[in-house]
Amino acid sequence: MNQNHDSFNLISTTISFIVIAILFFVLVFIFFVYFTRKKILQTEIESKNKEIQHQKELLYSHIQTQEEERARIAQDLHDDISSKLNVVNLNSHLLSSPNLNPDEAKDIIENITNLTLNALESSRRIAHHLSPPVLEKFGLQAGLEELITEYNSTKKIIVTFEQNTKFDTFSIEKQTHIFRIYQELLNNSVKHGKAKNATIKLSDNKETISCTYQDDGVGFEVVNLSFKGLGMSNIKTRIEYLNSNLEIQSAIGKGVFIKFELEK
Amino acid sequence: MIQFFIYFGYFLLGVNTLFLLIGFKKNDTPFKMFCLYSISMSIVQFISWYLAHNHTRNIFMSHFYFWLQFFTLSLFFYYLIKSAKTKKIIQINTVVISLIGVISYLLYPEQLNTYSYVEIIGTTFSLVAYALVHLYNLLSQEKKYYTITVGLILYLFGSTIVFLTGNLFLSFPKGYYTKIQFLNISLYVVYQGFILYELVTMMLKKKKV
Repeated sequence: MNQNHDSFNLISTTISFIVIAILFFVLVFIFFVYFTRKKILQTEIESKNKEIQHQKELLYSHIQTQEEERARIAQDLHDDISSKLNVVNLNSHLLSSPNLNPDEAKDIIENITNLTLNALESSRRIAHHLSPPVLEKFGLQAGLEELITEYNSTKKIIVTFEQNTKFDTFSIEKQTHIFRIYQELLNNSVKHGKAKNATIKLSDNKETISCTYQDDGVGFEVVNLSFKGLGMSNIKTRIEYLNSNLEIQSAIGKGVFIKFELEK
Repeated sequence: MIQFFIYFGYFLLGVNTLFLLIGFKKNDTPFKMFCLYSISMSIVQFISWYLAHNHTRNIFMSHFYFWLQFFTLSLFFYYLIKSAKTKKIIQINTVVISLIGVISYLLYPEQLNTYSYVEIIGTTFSLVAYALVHLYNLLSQEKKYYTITVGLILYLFGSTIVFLTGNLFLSFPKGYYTKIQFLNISLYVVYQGFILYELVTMMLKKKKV
């Protein structure tokens, strides 16, 4: 009788503790799932907000670029073309003066011819800068070669170009993005990097094309690099458009090495 | 079959302890605490095996098992969890559970020769709670000790139920207890497998870096 009582006591105690244990585990898991869901949602909202912020920054940077470009074109038109056309206008009025001798008329005509030629050259230069015709007609390689020749002719920097691949499969839009990236990098090397030498290398890896850029300028600490400046922000946007990633290696006094891979 | 599982579990525990000892110097404090846990479990398992081998009753070793598991894993989570508030809770809870354990042994010393319900519930519930807090924190952090924590929760969930039935099954003929113990050993092998997986992954990751 006593043994039976002990056995029943043991069974009821065991069952009670098992029920407590199961209840504990169930409750703890319900709480865990509830709080986990809450945290996941919170993390998702944070990540979406960051994405929106990034999009806003990109949009702002695009608008700013557009405005700067407009201001530059306006400046070029004003300085190079309007001023010359004004002088042409004045000279044309002079031609209608009543007591003008043939020599004076000849000088004025010569002046007008020179000024119109200069204005024509300026308009060609502005148009060329906006969209290099070589790039559109003959592709990226020709565009880059022309760009490099232009930079080398300034004697400020010596640019070397190495290429063992073709960009035939790339749309002209993509080629323009690559061209603009190198244009911006060269501009940065001369303007900020004070570089004397730069190398552009486009090489063929079986499935990708590796695009690199190196200069021997003043360099910078990569950790301090922010993409808030217009130039770098433009490069970043173009790299994103090309579905690639930008690899930057630099240190103070050690120049810059930049690489991005493009899928064929 | 059960013998094979028991020795396979010992083998995995040995391998894991060896890996943990190899990486002891190069790793962080939680790793060192987990190594301490693995070593203490190896010692407890060895003594239990030795006693069983000599046909000596080894139920009292379960107290060493639970308390050593509780203290070493509390230290592991204490160093793993970054929040100062949670650390404080772990400290207070360790003291409270230990006091409850000591008082229950003083009041019912006969518990030393059986499985103690208070000890099983107090120590494992605390560890499951710490493990879940760590898993929750991992949602916004690098997945460090993730597999080990998941394995620990699975093992503790099963083994708590098995150990709670321990006293009841000990009053039954021997065969019944062996059957329920088989479940516990299987869970232990799975848990050790989880630990091994995490340790190997950690080692391969370090080699890559």
